[in-house]
Amino acid sequence: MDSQSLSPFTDFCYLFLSIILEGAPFILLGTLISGFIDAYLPPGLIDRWLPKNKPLAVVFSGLLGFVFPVCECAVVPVIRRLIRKGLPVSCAITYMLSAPIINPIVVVSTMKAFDSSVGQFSLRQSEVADTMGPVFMTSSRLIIALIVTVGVGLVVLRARSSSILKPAVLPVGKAADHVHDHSHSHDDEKPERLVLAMRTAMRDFMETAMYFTIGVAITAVFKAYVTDDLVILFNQNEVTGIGLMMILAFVLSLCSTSDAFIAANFPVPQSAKLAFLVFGPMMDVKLVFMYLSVFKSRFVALLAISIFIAIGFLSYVWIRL
Amino acid sequence: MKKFLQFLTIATLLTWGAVFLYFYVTGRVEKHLDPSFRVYALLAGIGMALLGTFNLINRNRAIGLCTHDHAHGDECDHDHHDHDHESDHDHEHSHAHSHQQDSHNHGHEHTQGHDHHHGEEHLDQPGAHHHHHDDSPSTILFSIIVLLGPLLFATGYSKDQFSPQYLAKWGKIERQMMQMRIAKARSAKPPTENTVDSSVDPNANPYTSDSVGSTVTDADTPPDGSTDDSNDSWATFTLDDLKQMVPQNEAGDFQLDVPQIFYTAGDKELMDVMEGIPIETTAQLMEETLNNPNGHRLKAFRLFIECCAADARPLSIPIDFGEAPPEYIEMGWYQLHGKLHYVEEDGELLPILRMERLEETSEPMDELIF
Repeated sequence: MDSQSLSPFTDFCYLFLSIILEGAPFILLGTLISGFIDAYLPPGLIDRWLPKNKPLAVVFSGLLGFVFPVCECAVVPVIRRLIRKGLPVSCAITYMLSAPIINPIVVVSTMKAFDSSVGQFSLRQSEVADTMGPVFMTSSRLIIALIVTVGVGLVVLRARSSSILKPAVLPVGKAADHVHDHSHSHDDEKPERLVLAMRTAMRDFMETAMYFTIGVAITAVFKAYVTDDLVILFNQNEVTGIGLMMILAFVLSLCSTSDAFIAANFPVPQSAKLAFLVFGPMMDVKLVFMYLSVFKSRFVALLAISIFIAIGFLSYVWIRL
Repeated sequence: MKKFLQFLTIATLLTWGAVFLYFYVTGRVEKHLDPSFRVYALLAGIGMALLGTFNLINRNRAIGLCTHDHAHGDECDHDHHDHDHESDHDHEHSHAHSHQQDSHNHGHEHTQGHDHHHGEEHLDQPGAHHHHHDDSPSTILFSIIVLLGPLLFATGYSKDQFSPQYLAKWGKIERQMMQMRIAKARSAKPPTENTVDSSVDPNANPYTSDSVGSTVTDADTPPDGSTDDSNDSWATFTLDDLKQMVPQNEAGDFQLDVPQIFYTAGDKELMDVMEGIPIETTAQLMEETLNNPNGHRLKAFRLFIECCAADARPLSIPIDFGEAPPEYIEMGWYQLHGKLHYVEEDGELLPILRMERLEETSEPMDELIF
């Protein structure tokens, strides 16, 4: 191909398509799950599964990703529907923030990434494997993510749902001031439930994918047009490095299964890598737009700022313990 | 209007499905995704097509389910205001309110429409609905434009490869990161007798400068990003080890990829062994814009991708001809033959290929390294 026909704009198109092709399958999966939750999960059932003690339920939600692993793209439509089905908002937010990190797939990918950052290109293997690096980074990532997400969940426990959620997402009970327990089932309802599930899935896909598309476009613009002097900034000092790595995670909008491979290669302190790995799956450009389909903008802004500070602080302190 | 928007919504979903299937069937997806992700793109295309088709077939089907959390739009058969629940349904409702004059709020979702939250403020307005227009026609139209416009435009306009400017920019960043890591590894270790002579000419030509023995440093930490690893865990690496690990062509040239060469910089034992060895590698060529004062160099690069092209990392090494480079096609594919050297220039420790010959070649099957 004639390289003259290539430009930053063609780069933008290439980047945009790549992220869409990578992420949209998981959004579709999430919205299909969302549709089935809407049609088949009786309201209030989740409440019965969760521990009665509310703080304990939040902690439980923070670990739920090990049982129901979902990536950050899929989790948003799922929790949106679960909230409407009665999952407490505090538990939903905790699960939403933690599941993309605290899940077995991410554990394996983080271990692999930090086992050797050059991985497949290394021409030799050490005789005595250095396992402290990957084990330490992976466990640190999980622990800090759990602390932050449970912390957010406990704070949200004290807030009113209506001050956090968009009206359309408010739980059925909240919006209705009464609970209809329509858990009865008739055989002739089965096809109708399937139609309902598919319609809800399509509707959720349209909304979630729209926000996702906007976020992806912004990420692609950044990658296509950013200047190459940026990386110099990252190594000025540790605190700057932590902040910039979180900002980088925010704009790059990487999938949590692959971000560790990027972080492992950055010549920044471990604390900055840790901050990148914890912050990115919780808050990035595309996620901001997806969160706006569920939460009020003020809450999204507060969430972004508070977890930025909390993760930065914890990453800085954690390495020194 | 509602029916038309519903049809447009389904058409949008079907279009997305078609685009995903198109990328998979035509093989374009191979330029975008790691092999393990390609099957997800295929499944997504099939899934979107099925979901769209299902909704198209059932678009006029009314749903009589009363879940009170449903997308009913035109398919909600029951009356939310005047019906008598006890007589309509033969089951028990645990209502904490009476159903008179809309003193309750129903959280309804309309497939095409809007959520209702008509509550106490409407007590004096029986039947009045307070609609949250999350799904107003304008919102639906906006989402359709956002979903279709960029996707179709990018599909038509994307060349499925990066521009030289992009590769130069991110290649430079990769190189800077590598050099920072080497510098960090050096600073974490006390200097030894192998430490480089800082008087090395930063513009030294590998044809004339001393070989690796005098240019490398004690930066041989395991390349895992950590700074305090002990060198004890690293086995002594010999030429025999290299021969066992790396295939050689008939002439004895070691067949290495550019990323493999790129990551040897900083590992003293590897550099000791690899200094001066003959190399055969296949790579794309570009103008070398860094450390190329006399214009004798080009850059050989390969793209390494973890998941998708958005995380692609152009890893490159300079190749030096000792004179003006021959005519070449920018970003064209070449098989390169030369000798590997390590030089330190402007504080950067670089692997460099002293070129013996290059041959134009076709794009390899593994154009992108995953």
